[in-house]
Amino acid sequence: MRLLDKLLSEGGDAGQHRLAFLALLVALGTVLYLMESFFVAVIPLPGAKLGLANIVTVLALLTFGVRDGLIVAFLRVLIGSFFSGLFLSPGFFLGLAGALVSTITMALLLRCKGVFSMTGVSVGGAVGHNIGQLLMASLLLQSSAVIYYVPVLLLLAIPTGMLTGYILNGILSTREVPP
Amino acid sequence: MTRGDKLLLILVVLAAICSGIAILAHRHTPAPAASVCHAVVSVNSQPVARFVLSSGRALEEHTIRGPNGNAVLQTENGRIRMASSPCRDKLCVKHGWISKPGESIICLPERIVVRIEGQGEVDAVTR
Repeated sequence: MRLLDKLLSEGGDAGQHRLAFLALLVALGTVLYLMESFFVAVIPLPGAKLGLANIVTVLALLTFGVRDGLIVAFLRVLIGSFFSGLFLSPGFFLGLAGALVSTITMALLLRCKGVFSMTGVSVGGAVGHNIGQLLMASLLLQSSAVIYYVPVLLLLAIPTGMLTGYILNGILSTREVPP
Repeated sequence: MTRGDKLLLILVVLAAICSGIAILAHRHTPAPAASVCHAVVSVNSQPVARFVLSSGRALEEHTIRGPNGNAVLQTENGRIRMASSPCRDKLCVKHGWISKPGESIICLPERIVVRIEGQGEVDAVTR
């Protein structure tokens, strides 16, 4: 976190500052996104992911706001798909829908100041991610059969969301985030 | 965890349980009998007979000529089965009743295929 501290505390042009920090978040998000795909084999359910990349989205939302949060989420999925070779595949669209819906959900939850802790925000983000994914899946498959998957993914969102929330609490307790 | 968090968690669990129950309830309601299924019987890949499978019908027997003798099919109440067949291992007879579109009974020694045609043969199509 010392690098992040330095970037945020040092003076200089605010625009460059923002650009550098966002680029860092996108890079971190991409790496987490790719790292996660190694764990997919452990959880035998399609679409079930830890959602570690959501951590980065929350950081972007906290430091810069909804617009930059959406940009980071979009770029993370885009660049991640370049690396995994899944650009424009069904998986790419699922990830994109999930990331965007989850970012909007988390932005709304963060807006209710003091009501939700990072745990609540993360669980909300995980639920949003899964719902977005399922909506896109039903759109791609032209079928409503994916609805059978809703309870499973809703329940899965709780442990994965709580895990990312726990990590976020750890990150945020190391320093103050500028409002 | 704040009170808001706990409320959110409870809401998510409730939503999961409710959707689960809704799906199970939906699954247990019988599908509307509007779509009529047909059983198509073919011998040696040649369609030889076609039976309408509608619910509420009494038991009927149909004899199919195979290369080694006659096989007997039974239709009843929207389902069909192989009642007897001259084949050796009787796998087709053991298969029992079929009723859903896409299901089939296949007797390889007699080269008889019974397949149910109708709407809803596939769950989904990926492209």
